[in-house]
Amino acid sequence: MKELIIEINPLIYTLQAIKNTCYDFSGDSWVDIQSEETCIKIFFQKKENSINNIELKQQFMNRLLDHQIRIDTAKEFKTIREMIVAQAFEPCDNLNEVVGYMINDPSKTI
Amino acid sequence: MTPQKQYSLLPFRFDKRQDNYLLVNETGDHIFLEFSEFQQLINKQLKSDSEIFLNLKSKFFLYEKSLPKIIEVLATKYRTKHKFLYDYTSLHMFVVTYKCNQKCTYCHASSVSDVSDDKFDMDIKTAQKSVEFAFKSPSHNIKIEFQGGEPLLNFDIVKATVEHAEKINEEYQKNIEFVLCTNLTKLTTEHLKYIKEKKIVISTSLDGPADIHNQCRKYFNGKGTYEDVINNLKMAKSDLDDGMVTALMTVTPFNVHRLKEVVDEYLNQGLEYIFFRKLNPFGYAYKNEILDYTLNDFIIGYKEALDYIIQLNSSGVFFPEVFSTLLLSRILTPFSTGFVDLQSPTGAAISGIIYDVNGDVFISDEARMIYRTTGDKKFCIGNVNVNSWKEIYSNPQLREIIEDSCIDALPGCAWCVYKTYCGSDPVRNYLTQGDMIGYRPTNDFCQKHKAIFNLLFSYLEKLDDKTDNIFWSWITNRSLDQVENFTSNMTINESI
Repeated sequence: MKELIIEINPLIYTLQAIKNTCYDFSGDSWVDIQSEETCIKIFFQKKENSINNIELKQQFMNRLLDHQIRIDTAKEFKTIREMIVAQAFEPCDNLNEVVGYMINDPSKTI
Repeated sequence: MTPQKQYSLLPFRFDKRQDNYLLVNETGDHIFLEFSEFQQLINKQLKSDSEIFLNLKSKFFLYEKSLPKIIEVLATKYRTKHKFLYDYTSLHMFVVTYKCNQKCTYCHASSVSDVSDDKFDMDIKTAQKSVEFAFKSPSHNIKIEFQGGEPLLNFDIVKATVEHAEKINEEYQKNIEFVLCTNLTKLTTEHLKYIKEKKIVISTSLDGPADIHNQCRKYFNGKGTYEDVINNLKMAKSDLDDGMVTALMTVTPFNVHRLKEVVDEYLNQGLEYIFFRKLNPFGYAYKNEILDYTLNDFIIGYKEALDYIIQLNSSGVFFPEVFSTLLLSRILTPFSTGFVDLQSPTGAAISGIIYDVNGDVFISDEARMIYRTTGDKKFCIGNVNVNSWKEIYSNPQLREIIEDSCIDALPGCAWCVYKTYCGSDPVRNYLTQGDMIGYRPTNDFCQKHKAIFNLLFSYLEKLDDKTDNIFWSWITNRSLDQVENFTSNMTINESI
């Protein structure tokens, strides 16, 4: 029996953010993700009745927002993170050139 | 009107707390932001002359220009934090016997009685082969730790190992240390003479005052061992130099709410620090209801005891809690801390390794425990009597274990605000959750460390000067007076 259903607007939240959030909540609830025409539906069945549905939805939505921010900010610095790790273990002499190249085209990966 | 973008973000992770956000960057710097400040940060609305902007910039959460130079600096910091990878395997544990004269309730070692036959002892050929194997590690530091069972019951092999290591080291010239993990009850003056001569550090177990210690640490006949442990502890301490006799304790249901008494016991016995180790689910402790207690109980007990220890330090008694010290070093300094039980990738094999009585090589003591209790040899990567160093370390099984323990790529860990300071335990995940990656929402290893990080950051968030100095005295292993004199001299110099 499905106890709580949350509808998510996929134009605002990416599937990755939704999945990461569902993972965080999957310890306390059985979670099912289904894609519909205009929204993504999350079905929760609580394993224990320790939290009411209103609180569960509030916590889920707040966590979803945090995960979306993580994904959005990661787009900005993902390449920088890769360059830090690469430079840490395989330093290159032409770092200026590499940085210019990578930052100008963030789709490139190291 | 949104101001023009003046800055860009550098990599960080964050977590929303009750009253603020905690941000931690890729190299371990942290900062607390109010909700509004966080919102301004990610919306690029911070003013470049504001204090919060300058703090974030100085701690490498954002930058304005010169990205290549910043990457160079952050790469150096990142490399420094991961220095343990370059050190490679420095901890080598030798199980010299399964025999033991004690039958502790929570024994991880699944020991056999001390009257068992010699097939439970490491022989000299295996000991020598294990030493030669250990020295092939590229690490310049080799720590040989004798375990069991009770290593004093095969002291001849302990001696043979020490002497062979010294002989081999004439060629290698590494820094070698020896540690003897012993219950102390079989210690004699003969043993002590050798231990003193060879500068072997003794590490024993003391769970608290007599009534606590004797609950779990007993002889085969059920009698508690406290009295004999304390007598021999005193004997060892009187004979050996300061710092050469240490003790560890295990948190059990019998002391989790009495950790202050355990601290007092340690102080009474002249011990220099304490390490509150939560009971791990290996050996006799696996699914043993007698030894069960909740994580909440552990955290409550830990906090009460830590507050007590801080109070003691504040009154002039230098007495650190080891695990907090280790984590505070990771949070407050740029340096790598070698602690094989909390590393990413796991310290198993690449930082510490264990040689069983027959020469089998396991990636960790816990891995060996799984084999002893279940027969599952998944984490055995070879045998010193059969395989070369190259064969053992290039074992594809080991590569899989290392890959599955990099928390940058594990669900839950990858986005955790404490990722930079944390690590994984693929062996424990395998035992308790069925695979090496584990499942974070119900993973007790994760929950425990998160709870302790939350606790430490709650101190750091509201840090007063006294507690700050106490933490730094632990990190730097200096007295509180020395730290306070140093900081007050700094203040005087700044005001000149």
